[in-house]
Amino acid sequence: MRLATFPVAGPLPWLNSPYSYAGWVPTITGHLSFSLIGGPKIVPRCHTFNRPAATGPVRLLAVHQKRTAQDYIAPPGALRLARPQATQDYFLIARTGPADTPYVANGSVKTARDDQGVLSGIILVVPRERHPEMKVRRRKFLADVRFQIERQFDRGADPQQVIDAILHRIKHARLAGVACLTMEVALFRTGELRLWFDMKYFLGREIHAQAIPPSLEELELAEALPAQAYFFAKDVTHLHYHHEPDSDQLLPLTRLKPSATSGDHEFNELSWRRETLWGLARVVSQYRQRNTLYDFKKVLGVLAYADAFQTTLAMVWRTRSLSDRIVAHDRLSRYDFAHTRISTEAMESLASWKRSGGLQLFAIMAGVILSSLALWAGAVQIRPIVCPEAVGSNGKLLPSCPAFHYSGAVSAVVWVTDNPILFASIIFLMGFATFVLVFRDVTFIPYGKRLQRVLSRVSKAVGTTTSRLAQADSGFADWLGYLSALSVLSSALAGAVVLAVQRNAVGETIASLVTRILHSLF
Amino acid sequence: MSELISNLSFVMLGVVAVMIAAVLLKVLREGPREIRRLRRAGYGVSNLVRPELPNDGSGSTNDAMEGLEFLADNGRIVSVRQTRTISAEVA
Repeated sequence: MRLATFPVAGPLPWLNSPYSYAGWVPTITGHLSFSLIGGPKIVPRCHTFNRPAATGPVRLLAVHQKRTAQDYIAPPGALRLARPQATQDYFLIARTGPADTPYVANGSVKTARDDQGVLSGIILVVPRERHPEMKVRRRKFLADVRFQIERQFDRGADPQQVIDAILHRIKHARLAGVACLTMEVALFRTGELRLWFDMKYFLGREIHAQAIPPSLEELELAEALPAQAYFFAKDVTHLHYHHEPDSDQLLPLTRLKPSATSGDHEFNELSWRRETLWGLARVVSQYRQRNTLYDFKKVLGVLAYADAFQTTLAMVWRTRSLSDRIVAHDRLSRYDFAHTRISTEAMESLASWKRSGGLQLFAIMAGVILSSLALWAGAVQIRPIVCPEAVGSNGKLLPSCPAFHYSGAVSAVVWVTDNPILFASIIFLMGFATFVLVFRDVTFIPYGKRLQRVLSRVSKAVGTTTSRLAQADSGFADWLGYLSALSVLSSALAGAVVLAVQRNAVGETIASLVTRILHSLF
Repeated sequence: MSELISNLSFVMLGVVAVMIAAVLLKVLREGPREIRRLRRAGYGVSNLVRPELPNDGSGSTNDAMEGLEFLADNGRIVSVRQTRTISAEVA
């Protein structure tokens, strides 16, 4: 098994493939940087071997990522144990090769030959195993490949030898019966992604002499897995700046039909470009409709990508032969992203103005309240000076001002001096609450976003189910569901507040627990 | 030590309470319309355990996310299941 160089002439390799897909890996510059693929800044939890070859302008790449379905409430770690089928190991093993790269100059699309214009190779998916013996083989295979990938920092390692060793292990794993689902992949500088395979290759059965027909499950998988491979390719290739990382449905991976004629080819080339453009425009509209400052900022980001796609990749296509140059076309209706941007900027400015107004009001109110408290405390101190209590002729105190009890101020001061840490904690929480409620941003708190997502999903699930149980497609049912969702969150809030107030009991419980654990350990 | 833990737990529980309050305000602002939309999309409690939100066929969207579950048994693929639920953009 070897990684073939992407052909520079002849028919497109995916042209007559029964399973052929096209999509776009977003790149704002129009040129993906292959050297950054799988980097720690892009995907923190993946293993990457990404080095230039010893000779020639070639880069060799092997990326491994363990991917767990994000659709459950449970965190990925727990899900891996509870539902092994929700986790698979994904690999991208590829090398760069020469290809034509389109670019825009003086308003027209031109092409240039790039020595590293395409990254081509395979995407391999290894599912978990049920069979005990196969489990052992699978584990050993993954450990072997991981060992090779970890040679990234071994300066003595020849990249070609590392990639060959990985491919050698894949071949042996397939021969040993380990399920290795394989798709061919080509990722061009412009972000154009092609995935293709036939069933035998996909299931790794082209190496077996005896033909084994695919099962229904395997046929189903061949339909569903390419989309996941596309999400994987996007995740290891670019950072999700303008949307949540798990919003993987923003861009479609379009299935192409077998291209027997130039008419089919034209249809395919237009359809995936149209779907991508339409998808970007739809996402822009969805964000705009949410009508928040945060979402308007996302719109501007997505619009930049949409414009990048529309101005270059949407305007060209490859003919059926790689020997021909990329040709420009005007067969797609274009979106007016420029005016959309102007409109969004206006909406963003308005939202920003409203927010800054709210912030100013808050700052004024906070200033007024704090000043009032300070003035009150000052007045309490000053009062005995301006209103001294005189001693009368009979030796009794003669108040020169009406009687005054300032026990509240004294109590407050005493409480603050007695509980300095708690006082500081309350002030901290007040500041934190203001920030979170005004900016609605908890990304800086570890697991903050996850906690909010779980709470929101659970409360809305309870709300929708209650609404459905009301068995009426009416406003009343929705109100009932809405109140249920709110009551779930209110209960959670009350619980947290009660526990926070009962801090001494909580502290004692935790302290005794920690002491018990320490005693049992030592 | 107990006092330190008490104050620490007070801050942590306070932070949790503030985050819950933020979600509460978000749901409050979205109103019953959001519940109606999610009900029509097929979302519910069962979706928390079995994330099988029906695909509305609208193609690109930032409202949903998809996953795939499958296992191999002696090298052959078994129990393939597509998972789908609401995305973090909606939740």
